[in-house]
Amino acid sequence: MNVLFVLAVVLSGLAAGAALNGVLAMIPALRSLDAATVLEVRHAAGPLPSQMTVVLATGAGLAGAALLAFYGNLGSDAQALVAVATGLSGVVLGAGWFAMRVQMSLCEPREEPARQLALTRRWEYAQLVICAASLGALACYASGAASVP
Amino acid sequence: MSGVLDVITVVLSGLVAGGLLVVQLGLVRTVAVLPAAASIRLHVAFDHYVERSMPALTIATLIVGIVDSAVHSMPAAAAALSIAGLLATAIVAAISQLVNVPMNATMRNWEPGTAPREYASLRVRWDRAHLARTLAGEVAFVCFAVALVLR
Repeated sequence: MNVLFVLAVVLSGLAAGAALNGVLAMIPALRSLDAATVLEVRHAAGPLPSQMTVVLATGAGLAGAALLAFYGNLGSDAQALVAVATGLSGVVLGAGWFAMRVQMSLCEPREEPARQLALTRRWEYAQLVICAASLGALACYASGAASVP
Repeated sequence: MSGVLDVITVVLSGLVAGGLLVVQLGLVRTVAVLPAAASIRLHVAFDHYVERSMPALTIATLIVGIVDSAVHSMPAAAAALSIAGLLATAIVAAISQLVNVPMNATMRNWEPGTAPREYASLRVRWDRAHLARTLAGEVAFVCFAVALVLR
């Protein structure tokens, strides 16, 4: 049980830290650069940061699901917190997948700036969702680990 | 109260570790393949914003972790892991302030759109220092997380 809690906390924490850095630093940094540089950056970066989020959220969600499935003695508080965290990991997984798809579309050069801007906004909203959900998952897993009787 | 401080320490440490990891896997790799002038522009723009949040999160981890360790008794293994986590977090702060932040300031002062000759060697030193602080940050986070479940 302890190993699963450590795994869930560590994976969700890495996803949350990565997402927070994306929202607080990468989004404003990309907004401050010219369009040609942003395209170069997106080509060079590829979907790896979003893939990292998907992998971490999947691992955290699986660890949470295993805790719920195999340990009935977590106590009601810890069980509820782990259930919420597992659900939030699912949200991170879905939004990370969406961000990855949008990121791949953003790598294609386009003639229409309006379409590029719309895709950029979708990518930014996905990052906000990932950030909020992964922070929630981390807080819930850590609180759950602390509240096991 | 003890449980709250434990959880806050783990959350803050996780945010530091995840922030460092995404820079290692995302930014370092990206600037390595970009042309020099574009990679300097990206690095300077990113660090302008990241220097507002990461130092605050690192210092907050240290403060909450020290208070938690000082005011609450815990099993020996958890206490040892908490101290190891604090030391590793202090290493992250030291490498950042002594190596990476001064290099960021150097890059900010370069003429925009140019790539000075010393950029290649500075890039290598920045990347090495970042790898070292990332490893320290991950170790700190794992120590705090294991300490949390052992209490």
